[in-house]
Amino acid sequence: MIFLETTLFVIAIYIVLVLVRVILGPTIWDRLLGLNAISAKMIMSIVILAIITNQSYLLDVALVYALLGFISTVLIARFIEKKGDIS
Amino acid sequence: MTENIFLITLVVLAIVALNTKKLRRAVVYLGAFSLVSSFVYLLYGAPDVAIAEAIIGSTITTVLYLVALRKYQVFSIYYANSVGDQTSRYLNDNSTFLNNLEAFLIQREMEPQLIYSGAPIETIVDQEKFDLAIHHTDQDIWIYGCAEDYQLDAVEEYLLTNYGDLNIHLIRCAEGEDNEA
Repeated sequence: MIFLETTLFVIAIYIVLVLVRVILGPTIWDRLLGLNAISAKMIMSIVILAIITNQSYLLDVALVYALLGFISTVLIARFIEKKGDIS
Repeated sequence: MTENIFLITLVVLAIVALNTKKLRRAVVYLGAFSLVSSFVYLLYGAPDVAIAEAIIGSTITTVLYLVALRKYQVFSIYYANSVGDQTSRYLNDNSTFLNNLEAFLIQREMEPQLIYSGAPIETIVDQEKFDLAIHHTDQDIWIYGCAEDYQLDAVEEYLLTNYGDLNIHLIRCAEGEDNEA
Protein backbone atom coordinates (compact mmCIF):
# COMPACT_ATOMS: atom_id res chain seq x y z
CA MET A 1 0.00 0.00 0.00
CA ILE A 2 2.87 2.38 0.77
CA PHE A 3 4.23 1.64 -2.71
CA LEU A 4 0.99 2.67 -4.40
CA GLU A 5 0.74 5.85 -2.39
CA THR A 6 4.33 6.74 -3.23
CA THR A 7 3.54 6.16 -6.91
CA LEU A 8 0.56 8.49 -6.69
CA PHE A 9 2.74 11.11 -5.03
CA VAL A 10 5.41 10.82 -7.73
CA ILE A 11 2.78 11.16 -10.45
CA ALA A 12 1.51 14.28 -8.70
CA ILE A 13 5.07 15.68 -8.80
CA TYR A 14 5.20 14.87 -12.54
CA ILE A 15 1.95 16.73 -13.09
CA VAL A 16 3.40 19.79 -11.36
CA LEU A 17 6.53 19.59 -13.54
CA VAL A 18 4.46 19.36 -16.73
CA LEU A 19 2.34 22.21 -15.45
CA VAL A 20 5.41 24.44 -15.37
CA ARG A 21 5.77 23.79 -19.11
CA VAL A 22 2.07 24.46 -19.69
CA ILE A 23 2.24 27.80 -17.90
CA LEU A 24 5.65 29.02 -19.09
CA GLY A 25 5.76 27.36 -22.52
CA PRO A 26 6.78 29.88 -25.17
CA THR A 27 4.59 28.50 -27.95
CA ILE A 28 1.08 27.13 -27.93
CA TRP A 29 2.43 23.72 -28.97
CA ASP A 30 4.28 23.37 -25.66
CA ARG A 31 1.05 24.09 -23.85
CA LEU A 32 -0.85 21.62 -26.00
CA LEU A 33 1.67 18.81 -25.44
CA GLY A 34 1.66 19.63 -21.74
CA LEU A 35 -2.13 19.34 -21.67
CA ASN A 36 -1.88 15.96 -23.37
CA ALA A 37 0.77 14.80 -20.89
CA ILE A 38 -1.35 15.97 -17.95
CA SER A 39 -4.28 14.01 -19.34
CA ALA A 40 -2.14 10.84 -19.61
CA LYS A 41 -0.83 11.28 -16.06
CA MET A 42 -4.40 11.79 -14.85
CA ILE A 43 -5.48 8.46 -16.34
CA MET A 44 -2.59 6.72 -14.58
CA SER A 45 -3.37 8.31 -11.25
CA ILE A 46 -7.06 7.43 -11.55
CA VAL A 47 -6.13 3.77 -12.12
CA ILE A 48 -3.78 3.81 -9.13
CA LEU A 49 -6.49 5.43 -7.01
CA ALA A 50 -8.84 2.63 -8.08
CA ILE A 51 -6.31 0.04 -6.87
CA ILE A 52 -5.73 1.87 -3.56
CA THR A 53 -9.41 2.28 -2.71
CA ASN A 54 -10.26 -1.14 -4.22
CA GLN A 55 -13.25 0.28 -6.10
CA SER A 56 -13.55 -0.98 -9.65
CA TYR A 57 -16.01 1.67 -10.83
CA LEU A 58 -13.20 4.21 -10.74
CA LEU A 59 -11.82 2.36 -13.75
CA ASP A 60 -14.90 3.49 -15.71
CA VAL A 61 -13.89 7.08 -15.08
CA ALA A 62 -10.40 6.30 -16.38
CA LEU A 63 -11.98 4.71 -19.45
CA VAL A 64 -14.10 7.80 -20.14
CA TYR A 65 -10.98 9.89 -19.78
CA ALA A 66 -8.95 7.76 -22.14
CA LEU A 67 -11.72 7.89 -24.74
CA LEU A 68 -12.46 11.60 -24.49
CA GLY A 69 -9.15 13.08 -23.43
CA PHE A 70 -7.70 13.36 -26.91
CA ILE A 71 -10.66 15.30 -28.32
CA SER A 72 -9.72 18.62 -26.75
CA THR A 73 -6.10 18.26 -27.91
CA VAL A 74 -7.14 17.42 -31.46
CA LEU A 75 -9.66 20.25 -31.59
CA ILE A 76 -7.27 22.89 -30.30
CA ALA A 77 -4.69 21.76 -32.86
CA ARG A 78 -7.33 21.89 -35.61
CA PHE A 79 -8.39 25.31 -34.46
CA ILE A 80 -4.94 26.86 -34.69
CA GLU A 81 -4.04 25.41 -38.10
CA LYS A 82 -0.88 27.47 -38.50
CA LYS A 83 2.81 26.74 -38.34
CA GLY A 84 5.56 28.31 -36.29
CA ASP A 85 5.95 30.13 -33.01
CA ILE A 86 2.44 31.02 -32.03
CA SER A 87 2.10 32.08 -28.49
CA MET B 1 0.14 15.30 0.81
CA THR B 2 -0.84 14.19 -2.69
CA GLU B 3 -4.23 15.78 -2.15
CA ASN B 4 -2.59 19.09 -1.26
CA ILE B 5 -0.48 19.04 -4.43
CA PHE B 6 -3.59 18.61 -6.58
CA LEU B 7 -5.49 21.33 -4.72
CA ILE B 8 -2.63 23.82 -5.07
CA THR B 9 -2.36 22.91 -8.78
CA LEU B 10 -6.06 23.69 -9.13
CA VAL B 11 -5.70 27.13 -7.56
CA VAL B 12 -2.63 27.97 -9.66
CA LEU B 13 -4.40 26.91 -12.88
CA ALA B 14 -7.47 28.96 -12.03
CA ILE B 15 -5.42 32.09 -11.37
CA VAL B 16 -3.36 31.62 -14.54
CA ALA B 17 -6.47 31.05 -16.66
CA LEU B 18 -7.93 34.30 -15.38
CA ASN B 19 -4.79 36.36 -15.83
CA THR B 20 -3.73 35.24 -19.30
CA LYS B 21 -3.69 37.76 -22.13
CA LYS B 22 -4.62 35.46 -25.01
CA LEU B 23 -7.90 33.60 -25.23
CA ARG B 24 -6.33 30.51 -26.82
CA ARG B 25 -4.13 30.04 -23.78
CA ALA B 26 -7.11 30.41 -21.48
CA VAL B 27 -8.81 27.52 -23.33
CA VAL B 28 -5.76 25.30 -22.74
CA TYR B 29 -5.54 26.28 -19.08
CA LEU B 30 -9.24 25.62 -18.57
CA GLY B 31 -8.83 22.16 -20.12
CA ALA B 32 -6.05 21.36 -17.66
CA PHE B 33 -8.12 22.87 -14.84
CA SER B 34 -11.09 20.63 -15.56
CA LEU B 35 -8.80 17.56 -15.76
CA VAL B 36 -7.31 18.25 -12.34
CA SER B 37 -10.64 19.21 -10.80
CA SER B 38 -12.27 15.98 -11.89
CA PHE B 39 -9.42 14.03 -10.26
CA VAL B 40 -10.03 16.01 -7.08
CA TYR B 41 -13.71 14.98 -7.27
CA LEU B 42 -12.49 11.38 -7.41
CA LEU B 43 -10.23 11.88 -4.40
CA TYR B 44 -13.20 13.11 -2.39
CA GLY B 45 -15.21 10.07 -3.42
CA ALA B 46 -17.56 11.40 -6.11
CA PRO B 47 -16.92 9.32 -9.25
CA ASP B 48 -20.21 10.22 -10.96
CA VAL B 49 -19.44 13.93 -10.67
CA ALA B 50 -15.96 13.18 -12.00
CA ILE B 51 -17.40 11.46 -15.10
CA ALA B 52 -19.70 14.42 -15.71
CA GLU B 53 -16.79 16.84 -15.32
CA ALA B 54 -14.64 14.77 -17.69
CA ILE B 55 -17.33 14.74 -20.39
CA ILE B 56 -18.69 18.26 -20.01
CA GLY B 57 -15.73 20.16 -18.65
CA SER B 58 -12.88 18.93 -20.72
CA THR B 59 -14.66 18.02 -23.98
CA ILE B 60 -17.86 19.94 -24.64
CA THR B 61 -16.67 23.16 -23.02
CA THR B 62 -13.47 23.14 -25.06
CA VAL B 63 -15.44 22.63 -28.27
CA LEU B 64 -17.85 25.42 -27.37
CA TYR B 65 -15.06 27.85 -26.48
CA LEU B 66 -13.21 27.11 -29.71
CA VAL B 67 -16.34 27.59 -31.84
CA ALA B 68 -17.04 30.86 -30.01
CA LEU B 69 -13.46 32.02 -30.62
CA ARG B 70 -13.82 31.26 -34.33
CA LYS B 71 -17.03 33.26 -34.58
CA TYR B 72 -15.63 36.18 -32.61
CA GLN B 73 -12.45 36.38 -34.67
CA VAL B 74 -14.05 36.95 -38.06
CA PHE B 75 -14.04 40.67 -38.75
CA SER B 76 -15.78 41.61 -41.99
CA ILE B 77 -14.78 44.79 -43.80
CA TYR B 78 -17.00 46.03 -46.62
CA TYR B 79 -15.31 48.18 -49.20
CA ALA B 80 -17.79 50.13 -51.28
CA ASN B 81 -16.32 50.51 -54.72
CA SER B 82 -18.93 52.57 -56.46
CA VAL B 83 -16.96 55.63 -57.55
CA GLY B 84 -16.46 54.37 -61.09
CA ASP B 85 -13.51 55.69 -63.10
CA GLN B 86 -11.96 57.50 -60.20
CA THR B 87 -11.28 54.27 -58.36
CA SER B 88 -8.21 53.44 -60.41
CA ARG B 89 -6.60 56.59 -59.12
CA TYR B 90 -7.27 55.78 -55.49
CA LEU B 91 -7.18 52.01 -55.51
CA ASN B 92 -3.41 51.82 -55.09
CA ASP B 93 -3.40 54.13 -52.11
CA ASN B 94 -6.36 52.44 -50.59
CA SER B 95 -5.06 48.95 -51.07
CA THR B 96 -1.95 49.69 -49.00
CA PHE B 97 -4.28 51.34 -46.51
CA LEU B 98 -6.47 48.23 -46.45
CA ASN B 99 -3.44 45.93 -46.21
CA ASN B 100 -2.12 47.85 -43.23
CA LEU B 101 -5.54 47.76 -41.61
CA GLU B 102 -5.70 44.01 -42.14
CA ALA B 103 -2.20 43.54 -40.70
CA PHE B 104 -3.22 45.56 -37.66
CA LEU B 105 -6.30 43.40 -37.15
CA ILE B 106 -4.31 40.18 -37.55
CA GLN B 107 -1.94 41.48 -34.91
CA ARG B 108 -4.95 41.85 -32.62
CA GLU B 109 -5.86 38.17 -33.19
CA MET B 110 -8.73 38.91 -35.54
CA GLU B 111 -9.37 37.37 -38.93
CA PRO B 112 -10.16 40.21 -41.32
CA GLN B 113 -12.43 39.35 -44.22
CA LEU B 114 -12.43 41.94 -46.98
CA ILE B 115 -15.51 42.18 -49.18
CA TYR B 116 -15.47 44.40 -52.24
CA SER B 117 -18.92 45.58 -53.12
CA GLY B 118 -20.29 47.60 -56.00
CA ALA B 119 -23.37 48.61 -54.11
CA PRO B 120 -23.71 52.18 -52.80
CA ILE B 121 -22.62 52.71 -49.22
CA GLU B 122 -26.11 53.47 -47.96
CA THR B 123 -27.39 50.05 -48.99
CA ILE B 124 -24.45 48.33 -47.32
CA VAL B 125 -24.90 50.25 -44.08
CA ASP B 126 -28.62 49.59 -44.08
CA GLN B 127 -28.74 45.99 -45.13
CA GLU B 128 -25.49 44.12 -44.57
CA LYS B 129 -23.93 42.86 -41.36
CA PHE B 130 -20.51 44.43 -41.17
CA ASP B 131 -17.85 45.36 -38.67
CA LEU B 132 -16.37 48.10 -40.79
CA ALA B 133 -17.66 49.63 -44.01
CA ILE B 134 -15.23 51.78 -45.96
CA HIS B 135 -16.18 54.30 -48.60
CA HIS B 136 -14.15 57.09 -50.13
CA THR B 137 -14.68 60.15 -52.23
CA ASP B 138 -11.97 62.33 -53.78
CA GLN B 139 -10.51 63.66 -50.59
CA ASP B 140 -12.27 61.91 -47.76
CA ILE B 141 -12.42 58.38 -46.47
CA TRP B 142 -15.60 57.46 -44.65
CA ILE B 143 -15.52 54.53 -42.26
CA TYR B 144 -18.71 53.20 -40.75
CA GLY B 145 -18.56 51.04 -37.66
CA CYS B 146 -20.87 49.62 -35.07
CA ALA B 147 -20.73 51.35 -31.72
CA GLU B 148 -21.08 48.12 -29.75
CA ASP B 149 -17.95 46.71 -31.39
CA TYR B 150 -15.16 47.25 -28.90
CA GLN B 151 -12.46 46.75 -31.54
CA LEU B 152 -13.56 50.03 -33.07
CA ASP B 153 -11.80 52.12 -30.44
CA ALA B 154 -8.49 50.40 -31.20
CA VAL B 155 -9.06 50.82 -34.94
CA GLU B 156 -9.78 54.54 -34.44
CA GLU B 157 -6.63 55.01 -32.39
CA TYR B 158 -4.56 53.15 -35.00
CA LEU B 159 -5.99 55.25 -37.83
CA LEU B 160 -5.40 58.51 -35.98
CA THR B 161 -1.78 57.72 -35.19
CA ASN B 162 -0.84 56.27 -38.59
CA TYR B 163 -3.12 58.05 -41.05
CA GLY B 164 -3.68 61.39 -39.39
CA ASP B 165 -2.90 63.25 -42.60
CA LEU B 166 -5.70 61.58 -44.58
CA ASN B 167 -9.19 62.93 -44.14
CA ILE B 168 -10.76 60.02 -42.31
CA HIS B 169 -14.25 60.31 -40.90
CA LEU B 170 -15.27 57.58 -38.52
CA ILE B 171 -19.01 57.22 -38.15
CA ARG B 172 -20.47 55.09 -35.41
CA CYS B 173 -23.97 53.86 -36.02
CA ALA B 174 -25.93 52.77 -33.00
CA GLU B 175 -29.24 51.01 -33.60
CA GLY B 176 -29.81 52.43 -37.04
CA GLU B 177 -29.04 56.01 -36.09
CA ASP B 178 -25.89 57.60 -37.44
CA ASN B 179 -24.02 59.47 -34.76
CA GLU B 180 -20.98 61.28 -35.92
CA ALA B 181 -18.08 60.77 -33.53
